[in-house]
Amino acid sequence: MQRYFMQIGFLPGNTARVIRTAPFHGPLLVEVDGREIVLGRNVARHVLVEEIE
Amino acid sequence: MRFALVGQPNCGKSTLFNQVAGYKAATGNFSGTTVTFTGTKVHVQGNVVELVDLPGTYSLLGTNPAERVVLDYLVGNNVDAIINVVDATHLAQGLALTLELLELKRPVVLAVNMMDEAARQGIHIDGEKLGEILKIPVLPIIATKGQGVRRVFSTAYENGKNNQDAQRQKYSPELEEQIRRIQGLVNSVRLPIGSEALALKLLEGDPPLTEQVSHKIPNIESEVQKAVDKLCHITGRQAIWLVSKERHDLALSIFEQVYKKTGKKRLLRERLDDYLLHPFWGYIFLVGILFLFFWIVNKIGGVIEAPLNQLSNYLDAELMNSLADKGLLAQILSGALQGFMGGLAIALPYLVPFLIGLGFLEDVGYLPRVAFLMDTLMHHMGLHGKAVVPFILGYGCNVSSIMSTRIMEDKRDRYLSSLLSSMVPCSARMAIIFGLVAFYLGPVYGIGLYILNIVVIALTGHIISHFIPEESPGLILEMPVYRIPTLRTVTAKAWLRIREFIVDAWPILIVGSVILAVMNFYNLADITDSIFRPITWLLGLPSQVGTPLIFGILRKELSLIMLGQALGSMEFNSVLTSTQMLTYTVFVIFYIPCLATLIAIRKELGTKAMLSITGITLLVAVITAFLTHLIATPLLG
Repeated sequence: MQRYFMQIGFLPGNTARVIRTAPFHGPLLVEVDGREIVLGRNVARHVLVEEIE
Repeated sequence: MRFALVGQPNCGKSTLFNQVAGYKAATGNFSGTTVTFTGTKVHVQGNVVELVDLPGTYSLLGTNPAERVVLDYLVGNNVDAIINVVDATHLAQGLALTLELLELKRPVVLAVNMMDEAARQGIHIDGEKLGEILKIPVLPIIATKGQGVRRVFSTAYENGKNNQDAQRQKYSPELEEQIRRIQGLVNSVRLPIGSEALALKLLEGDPPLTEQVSHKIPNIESEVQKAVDKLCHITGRQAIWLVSKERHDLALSIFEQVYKKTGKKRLLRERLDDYLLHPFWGYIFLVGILFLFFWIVNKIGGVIEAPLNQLSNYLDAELMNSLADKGLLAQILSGALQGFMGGLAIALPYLVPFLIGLGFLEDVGYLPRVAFLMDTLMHHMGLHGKAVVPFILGYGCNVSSIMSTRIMEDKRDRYLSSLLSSMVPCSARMAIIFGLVAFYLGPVYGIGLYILNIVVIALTGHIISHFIPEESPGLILEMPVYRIPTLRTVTAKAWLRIREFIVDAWPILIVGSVILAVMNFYNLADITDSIFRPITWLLGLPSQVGTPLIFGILRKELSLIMLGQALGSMEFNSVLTSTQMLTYTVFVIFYIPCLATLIAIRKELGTKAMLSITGITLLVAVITAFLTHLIATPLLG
């Protein structure tokens, strides 16, 4: 899991932006490092973020 | 000499590979199309070179079976040059892997792909400067058009011949110190990768590699642990994070030196996604696109099937007339003719438009969007959105869907998606749905069967996941940009499968029909029919369909081609009632995967999984077909 996050650019200090979400409590589309990643809710729950802007 | 193609998922490695190998590797616009390595021989400057296309990977950590293949291959095999493909539009991420490849101390050539797409997005990359920083050749290519490909190979050849090993970039002093320490310990281990790379991999904690090294150096594990503890003490981070972070930061700083972007316009992709991923319209488009797809396939196929069917029956009647006194010979010839015409009239007319359409959807990049939209529904089946990929590939061929489950991290997810995707009607069963049900009962029934199929699969998944609960965290998938498929890749991809049908399946259809003709002649079919008798009796089907069902396990098309023969007519509506056609087709859709799929399941997941999938699908088929029989009888007669 850790390794997986690392691979797709979820590294300490990186910024991410939620672009859109799917309905019915569906996954999030997140932009990290200029790349769009789909994250299921259960996965996204594991990402610790700090709000900016 | 041997070259390996390495790169991140969906960066175009396989497209490049196909440019030089002809169409051998499957391609598609989503992560994880290549799940195992494919090799080919290519000619470079008059020399024969072995080229290996490895699965896409974000790093050499091997988090799922497909990615594991890459590390194992590079550790286990001597590679003379690595051709690292990066996507110009995602250079920053690609470079992190490049840095990791440089550690291996092998000649590396960096091929920056999709320069055309980058130019469209206003991205400019200073390749010369990038080459200076990394000290490796950096070459721009457009893999879909074959531009720059030749130069990549000749450069790789030169560098491989001269053993121009790449040098890795330096990391922080603390990390370098530990690398040196571990390197000193593992110097005696001889592997195709350098001892520095090995030291780094051990620090990152790769279990299979650690195990391998500990055979030679028993105390390696505790030594590595010491180094990890030390690093953790100094930096406050686990080594695995530290290494990734340093590579990532370094990649980013290199990227900033070589990257320029002019003009930021709202991308077509975002505008399209506003509609296609819309919470409401997205689903309308999804249904619309799939409906249109099947409608077109049905229309084209139907137009071609009807006259060919007539021709087939006419030829068969003529044959029987002229050879009426020849007995067995006439039967054999008639069997061969029916097998041949069955393939021509029933299977091919639907197969060709279907495969071209599917190839188009794959290449455009729509499948990951379906995964995004369907994630919630998939959770009800105990899976997540990533399983959409094996499902959709299953509409082409179940073997490729079983292979594609390798993109999933969890064994339980792989089993469940294999089970469920093997019930997705592949192109062979599609021919049965269209050729039998849609053709005789109307296209609405055909589409109805597809919807029924999805409902049954969802229910099965829901029930099974009660017994094996969901554990994996869920969906992580990269969303690719839209790409306009080239006619060449789409037709080449379709041709790959059509050729498989012509070469592998068609002869089996003909032979199967001949065997059945002989069996009919000697009244042997009764014996094979009796195996399925309990089921055919329960479902209200004529007992003669037992033999086509058994042969159908070999090739699903046989259950249609041989059906006509077993019943004595290709005009199915004269020998079967509407209910019987429907029930039979429902049963064929679900029961036991074909032999090739079974073999694939056994290879991927073991004999136990294969047997349980066989049992479950048979049970599902009997229940669903029985219910169809019960419900359809009063309605259709």
